Amino acid sequence: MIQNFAQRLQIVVLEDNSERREAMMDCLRDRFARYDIVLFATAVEMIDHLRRHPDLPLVIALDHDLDLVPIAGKRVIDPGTGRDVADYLASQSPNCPVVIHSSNVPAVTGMIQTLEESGWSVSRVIPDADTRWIRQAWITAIRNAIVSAVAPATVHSDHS
Amino acid sequence: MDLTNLSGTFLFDDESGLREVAKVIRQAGIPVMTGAVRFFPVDGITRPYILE
Repeated sequence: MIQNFAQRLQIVVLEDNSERREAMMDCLRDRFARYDIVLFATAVEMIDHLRRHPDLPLVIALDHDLDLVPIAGKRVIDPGTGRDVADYLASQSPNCPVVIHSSNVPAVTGMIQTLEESGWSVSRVIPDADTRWIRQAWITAIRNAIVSAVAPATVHSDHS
Repeated sequence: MDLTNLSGTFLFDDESGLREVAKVIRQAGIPVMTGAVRFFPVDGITRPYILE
């Protein structure tokens, strides 16, 4: 495949709450300005993106519970859940860490088990009522996941 | 402890700056373990790697 231009690595986030999305964007832009930040509100869209760009994520952040998405009239779209994304990832080779932020304990337990059984490195952050946890525990977990996943220098022999 | 060029404190665009910081920290008596110095290329395209 011929690639005309190199794409920046991405921090890929599944989160549907607008306040959380705004706080996450602020933190990520502040700390990781060199990377593209891609947010999704539905699992289907995120899976489609990951399918088309499997090598771009530097880290993947997943919520579990997502609100129905209203469309024309009184109709709604089922956004799926973070578990759908975890199941998709579990069918792929692990190539970046995953950080899960959800207070749905049974769902998180299942996501972690599924991902870890497939070799993915997973960490978890427990959300709080407001968005302070994003500026504290979540961004720290994202940073630690990214730094911990850095490959040994022997793998990158092209760097001198 | 890890040492990176991710934060605003040590925002270097090349490896030499980060190596220099690691050297100064070691000279101050603070141990920097092998594998702890991790470089994040500023182009955002190249994957980060362990510098030393």
